[in-house]
Amino acid sequence: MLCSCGCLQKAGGGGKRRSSSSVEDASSSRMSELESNSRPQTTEAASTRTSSLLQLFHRKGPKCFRKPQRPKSPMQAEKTIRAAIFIQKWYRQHQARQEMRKRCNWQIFQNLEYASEQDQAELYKFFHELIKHMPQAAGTGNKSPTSTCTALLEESEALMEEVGDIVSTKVEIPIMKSHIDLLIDVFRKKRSNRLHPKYVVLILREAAKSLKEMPNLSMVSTAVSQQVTVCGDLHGKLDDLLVVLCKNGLPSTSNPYVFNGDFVDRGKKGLEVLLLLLSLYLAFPNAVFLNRGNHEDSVMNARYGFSREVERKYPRNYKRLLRLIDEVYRWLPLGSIINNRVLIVHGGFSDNTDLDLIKSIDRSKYVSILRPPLTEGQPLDKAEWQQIFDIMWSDPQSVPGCIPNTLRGAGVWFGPDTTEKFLERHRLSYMIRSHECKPNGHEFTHDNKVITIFSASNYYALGSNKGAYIRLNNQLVPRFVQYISAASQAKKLTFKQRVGIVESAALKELAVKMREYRDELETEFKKYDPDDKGYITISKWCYVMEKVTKLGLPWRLLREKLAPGTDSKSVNYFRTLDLLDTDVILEAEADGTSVMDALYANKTSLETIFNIIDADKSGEITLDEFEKAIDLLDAHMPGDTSKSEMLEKCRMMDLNGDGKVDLNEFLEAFRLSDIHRKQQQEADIRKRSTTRSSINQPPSDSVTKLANIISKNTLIIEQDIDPMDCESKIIEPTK
Amino acid sequence: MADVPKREVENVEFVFEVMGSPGEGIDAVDLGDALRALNLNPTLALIEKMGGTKKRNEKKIKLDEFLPIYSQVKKEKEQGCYEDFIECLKLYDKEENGTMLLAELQHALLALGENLDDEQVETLFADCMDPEDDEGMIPYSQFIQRLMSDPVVFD
Repeated sequence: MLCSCGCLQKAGGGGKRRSSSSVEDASSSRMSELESNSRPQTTEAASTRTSSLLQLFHRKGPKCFRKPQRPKSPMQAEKTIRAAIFIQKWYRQHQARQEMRKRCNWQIFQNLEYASEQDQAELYKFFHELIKHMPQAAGTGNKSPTSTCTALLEESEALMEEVGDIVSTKVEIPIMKSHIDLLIDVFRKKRSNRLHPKYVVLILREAAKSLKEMPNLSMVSTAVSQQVTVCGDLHGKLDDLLVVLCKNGLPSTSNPYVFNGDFVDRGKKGLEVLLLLLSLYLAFPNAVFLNRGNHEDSVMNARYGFSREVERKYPRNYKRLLRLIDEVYRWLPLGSIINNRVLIVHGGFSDNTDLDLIKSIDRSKYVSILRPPLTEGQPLDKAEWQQIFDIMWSDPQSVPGCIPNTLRGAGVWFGPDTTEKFLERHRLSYMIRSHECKPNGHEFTHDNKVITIFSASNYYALGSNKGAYIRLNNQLVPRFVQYISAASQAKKLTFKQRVGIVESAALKELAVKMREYRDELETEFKKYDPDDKGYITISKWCYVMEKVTKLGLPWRLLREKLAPGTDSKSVNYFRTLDLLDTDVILEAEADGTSVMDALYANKTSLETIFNIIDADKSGEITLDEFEKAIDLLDAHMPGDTSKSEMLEKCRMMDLNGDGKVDLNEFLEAFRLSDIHRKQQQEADIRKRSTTRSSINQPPSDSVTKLANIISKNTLIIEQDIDPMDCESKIIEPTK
Repeated sequence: MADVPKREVENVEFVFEVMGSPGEGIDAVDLGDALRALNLNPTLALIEKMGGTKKRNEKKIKLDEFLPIYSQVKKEKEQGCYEDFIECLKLYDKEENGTMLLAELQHALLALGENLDDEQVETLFADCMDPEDDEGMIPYSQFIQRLMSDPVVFD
């Protein structure tokens, strides 16, 4: 139809705003339609036309306003429309491509996260196997005495003085709001302002003592407050916690909170988050409910960064602090129930989950969920152990059924049928869980009966996802507040740049993971390149990548990034290997913690392994006992060493040559093999750099260029946290 | 189905994995985005013709239904190429120096053809356009080049 200015307009719905998937939000959440509006076509077009011209006028002033030229003939008009359609089409394709890049990056992050969680869960399965095949170990498996645990809470052993700056902030019991304000002010500064370790001990100790009095499942009621707020994973993101407290207020009797686990690991301020949450709990005991998550676990902390964070911040006292943190963990409640109607646990549940059973167990046995529980001579109840796992590690799936969660390696995937049965059996209306990062900070599944809430924004990288928290009213109808912290940093960037940052972060993590398999990759590539030209087909490249890394990623999509500068017919795999050897990747690797590092760092796990292998409890392992364990070790330890090599290892462990291995020799052997492994790595790198420069060309320009981009994009500039620097949106209930 | 090469079917499977739900396929409202992610460039009119919807949850498209759509759209000839298109914009190039008024372009995109909305135009210009000069002019051929030079997602 022709409108007054003479241009043709398409009648009908051409101008309707597209649904959320094309712009900004990578909407994996099927329910939250954030931007669905459809204003009538003509008025929208007319008003935007006017507004754009007006904008021009206002910006430029009258003297610069030039009357726009309009094409004169109908043919010209048609040409113009064709041109417009062309640009619009390409624009939409441009957006779709960015969207696909976004989702690809998401897949990378999720795959990497779950792959390493699998490794951790391997440890659990390994213990499980050991115990299964060495039944006498079941009763006395774990020798860590509980008596020293309670003593920890009372001991007033002097702490060592730390080097460096300590703030003068004092904390006393009872903890009051004034202390909270002080703590927030200290923690949010970028310089690692540290509390004196004695106050850290104070907070941890008092919190553990208080948590001990809580039941396994906290009973929360909105009778007085008329509402309650639920937060999901925080993972050391203090900025997000402060955004929530800033927007939603500090806890009080009229403003209670439930925090659903995973307070630490991955983020840089885990200790501050933990201490602040515990202080809030101590200051407002009836208004703060803390649930344990799968990362409230020393085995996970050794692998995912929290142990290292504590060590870095308190190098002289970290061992004591970590032991106290263990105490807090074992006494954290396992979940909460609101008004007897809504269950809140970290992971989910399985067909076997029985809340009455969970209410009755002694949760303090589970210092770490990934190690066998302390049993004090009682037989180990594997079914009970499984129950804990299921609530901490499970994920919902869209198809019916309840199957072991092979992606994470622990817990289950539970379908909508499991949910329905569970809610009915326990007379609940719905449940809230966390555990999975979602682009929009939350997601509904299972016919709105399962809500996932995730409160760490920018979890994988700046701009990767939003965080959210839920406010439930007295009828327990949920309303979401979605936010992204450090918004000013993201605002300066264009959409494309933001996608680029997340992509660089994803590639960096992926490359670090690939380094674990570097030699194997080289061997496999060479198999398909008999003439040593350095080129293989794309299909073969993808095949090798998937086979070696065991990651189910869209390798075709990634090919251009991981073998930069090659054409669309074949892949120069040297580029892939060279990328792994660039400084930015090497530095990232050194920064992280490998599985072996974590295993060694987690001495208690090694002790446990030792105690289980030592079937007759002699305090020493004979070759015979070790041989029995090797079959199981073989199946579950990373790296493939043959049986004879393992036996040889045992003989080597026997440092004093008496034919038996005691605990110290066992630990020493791991330490030595760890050192040996690091030395081997360094030698490999040196060898590689010399052969490469003599035989082949130095890393190509495209590899260097990519490495520089990754380096630039993943540079994080620390700033003081400003909780007001956030972008947020309220999402009304859709039910 | 027979005329989609195996490698491309793999790409389609990936897109379905990312955009759809297992067993159900993708929502018909995402048909356009799915095709675009696979390097096709249909107009909105074509998408609607092929079964795309405007609202979510109205219709689902499974993989085996999608493949013939994909084949069909692939066969559609590209309507105009870069040169044709520059020729059209030349109509606005009064001084014949490769620049045009930004406002003209903005107007065209907002009001003509399969119009974009304000936010989309803003994003587009932020990503592909140099800032306008004091007279409000922009070099349009560079803009188009940048728009078209997005790295392909699949090859």
